[in-house]
Amino acid sequence: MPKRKLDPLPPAAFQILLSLADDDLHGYGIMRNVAEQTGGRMRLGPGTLYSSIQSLLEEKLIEEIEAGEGSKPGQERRRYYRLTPAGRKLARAEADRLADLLRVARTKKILRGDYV
Amino acid sequence: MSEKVYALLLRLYPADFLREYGEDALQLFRDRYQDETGFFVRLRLWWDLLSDLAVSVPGEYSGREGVFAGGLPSFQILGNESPHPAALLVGALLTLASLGASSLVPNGTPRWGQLLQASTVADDGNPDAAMHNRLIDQVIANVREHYFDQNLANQMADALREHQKRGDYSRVTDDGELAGLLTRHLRDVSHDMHLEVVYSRETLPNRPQGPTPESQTRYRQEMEQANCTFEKVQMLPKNVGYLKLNSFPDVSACESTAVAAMASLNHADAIIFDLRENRGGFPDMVSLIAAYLFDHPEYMYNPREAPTERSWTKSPVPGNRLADKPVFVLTSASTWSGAEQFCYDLKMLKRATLVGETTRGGAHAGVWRRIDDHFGMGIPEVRAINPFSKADWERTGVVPDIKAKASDALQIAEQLAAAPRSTTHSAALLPGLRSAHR
Repeated sequence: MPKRKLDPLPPAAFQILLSLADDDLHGYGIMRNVAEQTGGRMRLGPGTLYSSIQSLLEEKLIEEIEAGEGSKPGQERRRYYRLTPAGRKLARAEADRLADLLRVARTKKILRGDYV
Repeated sequence: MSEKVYALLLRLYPADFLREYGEDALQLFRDRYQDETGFFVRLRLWWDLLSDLAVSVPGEYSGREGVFAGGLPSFQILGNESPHPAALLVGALLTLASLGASSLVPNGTPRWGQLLQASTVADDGNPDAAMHNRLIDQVIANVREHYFDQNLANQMADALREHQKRGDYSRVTDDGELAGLLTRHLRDVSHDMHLEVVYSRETLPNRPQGPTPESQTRYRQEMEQANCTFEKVQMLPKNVGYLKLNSFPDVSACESTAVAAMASLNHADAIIFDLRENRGGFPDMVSLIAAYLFDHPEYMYNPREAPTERSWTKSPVPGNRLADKPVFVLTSASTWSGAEQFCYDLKMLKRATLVGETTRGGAHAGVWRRIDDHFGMGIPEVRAINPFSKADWERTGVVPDIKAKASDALQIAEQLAAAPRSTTHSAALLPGLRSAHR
């Protein structure tokens, strides 16, 4: 089966990078953040979430960190994830690509706002 | 109970994935199960989980060994879109079969009940069909409300309903294909190429009407850097003014540049507008520049807009001496849209001589209507009455008065502009000159 290449970045992976832009989060935090930033459209299931996380970790686009300060002794261990500089760079590149796409859509008159 | 079912389903993943993330996946399930309560929300949760399994399980098995095959890093996940219901149903059946074949399944029937319930959700609550119907309703509502020809709008609505009844849309599984099919059916009736249904894989921005302050600032900066696309403003030999303009930029950002450019050419005996690389722009700028070419307000016909006050030129412009000077407009096959409006109107008003190639032919435009996160449509909403003829330049382009290769157009226009302007020969030959000597 042909595998999805890094370029284009799969939407789920891009959303995960975006969700980590402000804060380090654990899996459920990422899932909720992604749902919020996509207006509920993308609700990552455990399989998609963790296989994406696995790939992002392998590419060193995110890194695993020790459990957040909020966790108490005895509480179940949760893995938190943080965006790496490379991940931030890739997310920015992807955002730029989408911005380019929007510009094209405008010149093709698909988007309102720019006459002709 | 539900957790156990999900724990069983998780066993479909490869062992190494489970070792690494099994507990985390189960934790995510617990978190969601705890937070997402209520019948429909739970249904949605199970739908999500089954979709997720259907998408990510094959991904996990498809060549983890080849992650760096060919030296190119790659992701194993297939994507995050929900799969087609049929695929999901097959997936659910396979799940049942594999669980049935597995000795891991305990003998408690309630679990089977739970699983069967989940697979029923996958079948009956088919979100694709519901989504299709909603989309078709929205497309019809938009066409009825906004398309400029009500009669055609009703015919299109009937046609889509007919296709819907025949099940033409329920067969389609790909969103892009569905958008294409709806577009084709709309055009079959209307023959209007500006009507279209668009699918975007990325979430469509919920743009406020009109430009944002940020986009305006950016536009101003871009225009400043590009001198408002006034590429050349100069006097050629024999006192011929030459203006190479590559768009008709927004008046709010570029009025002063346009006024300065026209003022610098004010003493020319003839003027050449080079629009060979002009891709259009704003009708207000078309009117603003055309204002210098008339001594009375003139209607600048624009097929995309009903006439407004700004459709008339603000002529005469105080201090302007160009209103009776010969005008030449250079065109190419890529001259487009707003630039074609300038060409068409000046040609129809017999105020300019067009030299070059037939223009590209973009007269109409659809107004963008967002339907949801991924679908939108373009609908021509206004068709102004053409005061000159029945047809405008849509698809056909504007035909020049003097046909020439775009690369030769400037030289020809320069010769014509510099020719003695009092001879009857040139006056008869060139509508621009004739008009200037009226």
